[in-house]
Amino acid sequence: MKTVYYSTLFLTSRDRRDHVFLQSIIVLYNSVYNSRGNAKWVNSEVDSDLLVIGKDTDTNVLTFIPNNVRVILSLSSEFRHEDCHIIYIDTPLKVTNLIDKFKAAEDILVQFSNQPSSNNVLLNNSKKLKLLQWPAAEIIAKNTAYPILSALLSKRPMGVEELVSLSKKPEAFCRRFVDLIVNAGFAEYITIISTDSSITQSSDHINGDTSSKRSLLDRIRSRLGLFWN
Amino acid sequence: MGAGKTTAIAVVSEIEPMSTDVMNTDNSVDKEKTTVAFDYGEVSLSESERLRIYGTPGQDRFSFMWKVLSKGALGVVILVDDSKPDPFKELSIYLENFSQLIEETACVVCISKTDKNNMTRVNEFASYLAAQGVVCPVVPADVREKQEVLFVLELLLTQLYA
Repeated sequence: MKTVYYSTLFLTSRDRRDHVFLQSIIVLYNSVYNSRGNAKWVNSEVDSDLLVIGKDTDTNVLTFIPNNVRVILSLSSEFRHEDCHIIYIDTPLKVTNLIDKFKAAEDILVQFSNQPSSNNVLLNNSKKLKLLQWPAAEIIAKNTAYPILSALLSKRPMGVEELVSLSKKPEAFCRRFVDLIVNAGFAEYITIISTDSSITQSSDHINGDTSSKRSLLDRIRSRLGLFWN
Repeated sequence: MGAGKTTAIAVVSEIEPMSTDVMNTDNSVDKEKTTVAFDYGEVSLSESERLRIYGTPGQDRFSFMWKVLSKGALGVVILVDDSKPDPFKELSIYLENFSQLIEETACVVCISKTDKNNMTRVNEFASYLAAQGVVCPVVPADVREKQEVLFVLELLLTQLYA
């Protein structure tokens, strides 16, 4: 890997000191370590594959993380994002620690870029949330939408994005709920490996069946006066 | 038996539920009548479509009806009477007999005749279900209250979107 495109778009003004320190280390890294076969780090807010998250970054930014971001360097130990590989950086920032993290990020990005794709089969490692048990009543009672989210998860594992899509609830809301049930031990993340060929089979037929089923469910719910929102 | 199936159907059905009740001859249960065959209620979705709601007999000796009524069902609500001496034993019978329907469609375990504020009790049912390999909504409800029965149906239908 020759170049890592990184974004600091979500660093806030409160992260300014860390931002400046980070940028100076990147300059050092590019000038001193580049000759040792490491990648060159280039700031790009448009098309980055690595994102830097500050200690004070608002979790609502999760909604705006581009799909091409594969690795996140996080100065916040509480930050979570299931679709990216997160490397946590201790603060206060230290040069040697940062450089180790840069190298780790490069290794991960190289792995992503080296993933084999032969015979039209792509391996899609996706993390899904699996409900282990109906969540405790104390959790369910916290919000009227939590039983709905739990009911959706009870049938099969699914990613947070799908949960958002099905429930029509904001992503930040769903992620807070997910963190709650995972931390309480009622759910866990599992990795599902699927091949591209399995995804494409009879997609038109499946979509048609799903659509008519959902139409029926919508009519039933409408007739009974049931509304999620 | 006695969990409230007939009552639950009555609160949501558009028609007067057809009930196949007979005099109860089981002295262990303080009930005048009990369901044999099934209860039937319906909700019209359009001129040609109806949502049919069946309440199956709760006694083990009528279990032959369960398979018949399960065919083509969207899901099952298992109504558990928490005032019984061993509700978990009855629950296990339903989980076993409806295992295929539960797996293939949707299920809600509705606990009746319980203290709805006793969260520990609800959690016990959830833990029991998980130990049996079943993860589904577990909710306490007073089936005489239409909104509570509708909430149970809401959770049942929600699963079918997944």
